[in-house]
Amino acid sequence: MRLIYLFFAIFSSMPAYSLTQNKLQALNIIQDCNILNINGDVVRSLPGKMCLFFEDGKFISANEKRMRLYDKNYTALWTIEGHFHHQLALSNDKKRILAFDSGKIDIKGKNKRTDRILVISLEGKILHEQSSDVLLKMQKLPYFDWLNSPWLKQETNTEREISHFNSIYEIPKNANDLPGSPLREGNFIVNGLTHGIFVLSPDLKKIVFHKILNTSIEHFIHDVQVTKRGNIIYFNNITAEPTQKNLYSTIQEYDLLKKGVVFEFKASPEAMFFSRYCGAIQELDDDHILFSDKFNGTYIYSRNEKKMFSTIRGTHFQNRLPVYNQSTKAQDLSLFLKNFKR
Amino acid sequence: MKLAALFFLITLASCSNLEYREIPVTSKEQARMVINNEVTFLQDTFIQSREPYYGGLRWSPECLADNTIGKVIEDEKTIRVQSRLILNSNGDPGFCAGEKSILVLLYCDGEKFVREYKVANSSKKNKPGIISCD
Repeated sequence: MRLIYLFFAIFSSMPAYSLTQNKLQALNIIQDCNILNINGDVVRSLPGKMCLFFEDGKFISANEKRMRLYDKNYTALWTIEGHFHHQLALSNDKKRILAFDSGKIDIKGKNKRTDRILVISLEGKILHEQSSDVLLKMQKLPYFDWLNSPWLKQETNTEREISHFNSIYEIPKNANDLPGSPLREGNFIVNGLTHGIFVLSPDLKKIVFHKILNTSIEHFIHDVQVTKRGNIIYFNNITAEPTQKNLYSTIQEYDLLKKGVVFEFKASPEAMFFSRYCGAIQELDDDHILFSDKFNGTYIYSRNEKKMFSTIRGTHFQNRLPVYNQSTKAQDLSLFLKNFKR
Repeated sequence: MKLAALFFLITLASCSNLEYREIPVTSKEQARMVINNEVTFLQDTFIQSREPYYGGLRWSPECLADNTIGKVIEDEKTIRVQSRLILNSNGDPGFCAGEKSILVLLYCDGEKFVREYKVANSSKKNKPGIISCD
């Protein structure tokens, strides 16, 4: 049955896309709100820490104070106040914005930071929201009590946080989009550092599935997404290794049914690739996967050839881009760039 | 006297040669909105913040000093704002390295556009008072 769905997903419902060197040249790298060409040169630097770009020249910009939709005339069409963090994503129909804001919970007279998961319309209306404290209670998971950095304290007026959610995506059509499966198209997959992967119903109210991956030490994972093969891929910041002396990061694809890693990228020697706190990935086609961290830059890796297809050094730490480094993606932005010019 | 007149003529010629882009507007109110929107956009671009994990500043103090957004000044006949910015080779702002320039948005009463001037500091045309409605 699964094979039939896999066949269906790959050959009938999904647009066939295959990255070639020519197509690579058309891609832009989006790092925060900086737009780079594939050679790593910044072509535009726009307001915000996280951005989403549209072909008509509009773009969503969010930072630790607000989210705004700008048009090509630099007009802010709407603003939502909030402490937005980690990443923005678009729903499968590209008509809803998926985001994280910070909230607060009073615990024994002290305010602690929580994560608010938001689904927002392109008109700036919050359609659905859920709070991490509610999810943790539902799943009977302990709040953690992490001390906030000085700047996070200032931004959120909280000393500590109870959770640290870092990625959200709407689940696309995939080989495990079967009746009774958690990976139904339209559910949301949300990742919380140490708290695990949550699959939430489209209204964010129900936890359909939850798992803490044992492939990572304390589930130190970022950017969890569902592939059309019905697996999950993610940036594993701290890959489990028995001695825990030579920590390293990996890019992993995990089969939730077989409960095992089916693909892994790691450096050789392993410890040469390590990003403890951040990391982004994007599957560009069946073969190529983009990943990026704070220190190394951005890579496009060919799984079939087991080698780098392209290395974008412009995003390397030493180039001192004014970036946040949590969400690096590739997208052809030629229409946005054309239409953004007034 | 002749020298002064010659200087005046040269200055006038320089002024008339200073290129600007026209941003169409239908009224003074719309011109005000266009100018205020651009100021907000530029201010948003250079909001200072810290990288969340390692605490590094998003913009260096030197970069912010090189990118200062002016205040909108309005009188009966004009609306004007002048900013000091680093522009890339396409004339776009948002950079810390590139051509130090001034960007002036100017609305002159009765015109159907806002003038957008981008003048590099290194340009010989970059002289005080050169950009005006006169």
